[in-house]
Amino acid sequence: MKKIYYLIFPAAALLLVFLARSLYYYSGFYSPPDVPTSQPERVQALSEPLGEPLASVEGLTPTILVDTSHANRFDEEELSVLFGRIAAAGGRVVYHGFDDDLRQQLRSTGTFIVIANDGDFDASDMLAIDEFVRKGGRLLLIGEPTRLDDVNDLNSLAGQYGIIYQEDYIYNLVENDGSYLNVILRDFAASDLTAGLDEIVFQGAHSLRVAEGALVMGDENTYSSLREQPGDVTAVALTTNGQVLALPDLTFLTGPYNTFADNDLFIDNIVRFLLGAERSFDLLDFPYFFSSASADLVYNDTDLLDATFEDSVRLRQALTDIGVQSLLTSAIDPGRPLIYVSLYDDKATAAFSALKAGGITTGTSDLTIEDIGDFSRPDSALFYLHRTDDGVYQLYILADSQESIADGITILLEGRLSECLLSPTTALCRSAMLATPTPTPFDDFFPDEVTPTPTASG
Amino acid sequence: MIESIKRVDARWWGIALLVLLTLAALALGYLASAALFPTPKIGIIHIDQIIYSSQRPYYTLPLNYAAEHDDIAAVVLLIDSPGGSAVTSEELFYRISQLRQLKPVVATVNSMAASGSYYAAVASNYIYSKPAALIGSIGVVSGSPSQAPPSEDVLTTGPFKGSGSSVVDWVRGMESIKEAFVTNVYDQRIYTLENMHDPSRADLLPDKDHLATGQAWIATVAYDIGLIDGLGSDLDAIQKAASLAGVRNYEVIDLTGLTVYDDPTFFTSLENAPPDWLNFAGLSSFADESEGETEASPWSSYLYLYLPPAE
Repeated sequence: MKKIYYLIFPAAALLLVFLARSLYYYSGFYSPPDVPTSQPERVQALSEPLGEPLASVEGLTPTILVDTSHANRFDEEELSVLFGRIAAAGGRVVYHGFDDDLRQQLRSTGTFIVIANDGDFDASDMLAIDEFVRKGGRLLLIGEPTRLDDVNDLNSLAGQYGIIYQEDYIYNLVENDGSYLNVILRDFAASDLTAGLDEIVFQGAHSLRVAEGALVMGDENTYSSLREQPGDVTAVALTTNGQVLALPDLTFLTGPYNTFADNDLFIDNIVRFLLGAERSFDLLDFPYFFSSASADLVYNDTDLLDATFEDSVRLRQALTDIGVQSLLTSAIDPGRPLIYVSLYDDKATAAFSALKAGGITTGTSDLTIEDIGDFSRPDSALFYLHRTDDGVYQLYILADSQESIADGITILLEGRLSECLLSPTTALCRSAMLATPTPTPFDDFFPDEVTPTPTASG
Repeated sequence: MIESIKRVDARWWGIALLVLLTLAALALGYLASAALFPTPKIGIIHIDQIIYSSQRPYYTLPLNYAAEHDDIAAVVLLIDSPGGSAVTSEELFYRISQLRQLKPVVATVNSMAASGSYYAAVASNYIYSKPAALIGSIGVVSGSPSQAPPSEDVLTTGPFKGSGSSVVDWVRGMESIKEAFVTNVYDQRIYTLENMHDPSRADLLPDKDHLATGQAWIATVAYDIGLIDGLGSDLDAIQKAASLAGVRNYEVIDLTGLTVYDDPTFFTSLENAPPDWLNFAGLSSFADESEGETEASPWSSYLYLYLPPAE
């Protein structure tokens, strides 16, 4: 046997084992694919916040009432930007709390703000707000999808004015300001509220449904979370003769989001809207229809002033309480705001003209109010609120006797004119009214009945 | 005669010696080939928890083992997770990408590969899923940092030292992270579809904006839009991994059980089965349990986490 066999056979056996094992376990080789590496440069760079602070605005009507009694989802400190602008413009922010009388507070208010309410308005409040809006008051509604579980309570009020907040949020994945929720809006309807705006940014906003009055709209890439089709997104609406403004987002009014894009300018425009209410007043709004710095208190009879001096002081105090300085005079300045106090038979010619304009004529023992009827004069006090062509309010108080004048002023200052109101501008109050107690809001709920005495047994 | 007998004996002795040498060679070959060609193994790695940063070794130990041992021919990721910590999910993504350079990695989804766990899955060569599983939820969730008020008890040297960031920068940072997340997922899937599978399926992948909606898709839909590569069982995934590695007659070994619990049979017990995320309503509470929490800012980190619909 050749020696080479001693090498070949074992080597072949060795190879055979290797080959058999490799074929038993392996059928090929793994060729790893490339792994795409991260490319940080492809990640979109984010811009700095847009916008810069703007100058404050000039104010027109001072008092703005802010609702805090309907589970409103905001803290007063959050709105320091907005309230600061209002204060800088000469406005005054007052809060409506749970124990406050909304109807009474709205009498002195130009604009009412309701923010993200999670409680509903009762019928009485709704009527008061509706009356307020009909008199030219302005209403600002603000939604906030990040804080409201639902929009039912917000819509209970907004729906009265043709606005429905959708239970959604809007977003834009294609173009936004740092987050898909930070929606950039550039489509504006012409309005004082949108004057000068190029783009605004909302941070989590509802969409609105309105038949008319859409003020700010989304673009073709703006979606509502309720719908998977883009477009037709209304974000801001102005309805009811330009008196009711609906905003979908609270955050853009707060720092630092107010500095984004033209948000600051938009906030300035909103402040102008808030302070620009031109509302009308009626008798029940006493003394808030006196909005100028001073008003005249006119007594053309010194004997009457002397006899009712304490009442005149109380009238002057009522004006002082709302920041109106009263000037005691004996003659009517037809162009001035005033309270005129006189006996029927002593009334001045200017007063006669004003009463005539209101359809009121006086006889020797009675008086006639046009479209209402004839009334006897004794033991009564007549109140007539006259609005001049220049929009100045003048209150005329007339009676048959000094005692009736005093009683009438008491009724006025006790806020009981509603018990003797004949029309929005005319009231005829009998002195006998003072003998009856002032009805309370709870009289209807607790009629006269015997309250059972609690017993120990419970 | 004697000479003839001697020649015959020498021949037989020669044959006997040759047989002995060959047998020795066979034995040596068997031993040597076992060392050179060990029995190939398919390693199983579980990604079946909320991905906590504090539990990073749960994932990295078996991944390291797979990379360091040549007998692990391929890896199968058993994924059943809603995601979790952003940084740990990113760590998983990069480690699995590196492992894929050495040996094939196949992912198989049980009930959910969402957010951070899907991020891990896209680094693999192939993704299987059960048809009813949830896939996607690509995006970031986070709490908003609270501004710490000035304090006489805790002194800081800057306005954001106590909170880490302004709210605006935090939001912008979150958006930047989301962009990186979406971009990586998109690039990986496009590459995988174009170069490792049927290239025509690459056209199915939605654009990045669509991926960025954060939607979780049912796996059948996810397959139709190219987010996964096949519908099938764990066994399909194992066979796919073996096929990609070019091995047969392999063993299957549980690397998570081996490296984390020192027991390759750990997960064969029902007691150690992962939770069913599709029916687990307490995911939101993860925020409260997440790492780095403080009283002022309960979600003080970014999360790649699936949040289930509110009940």
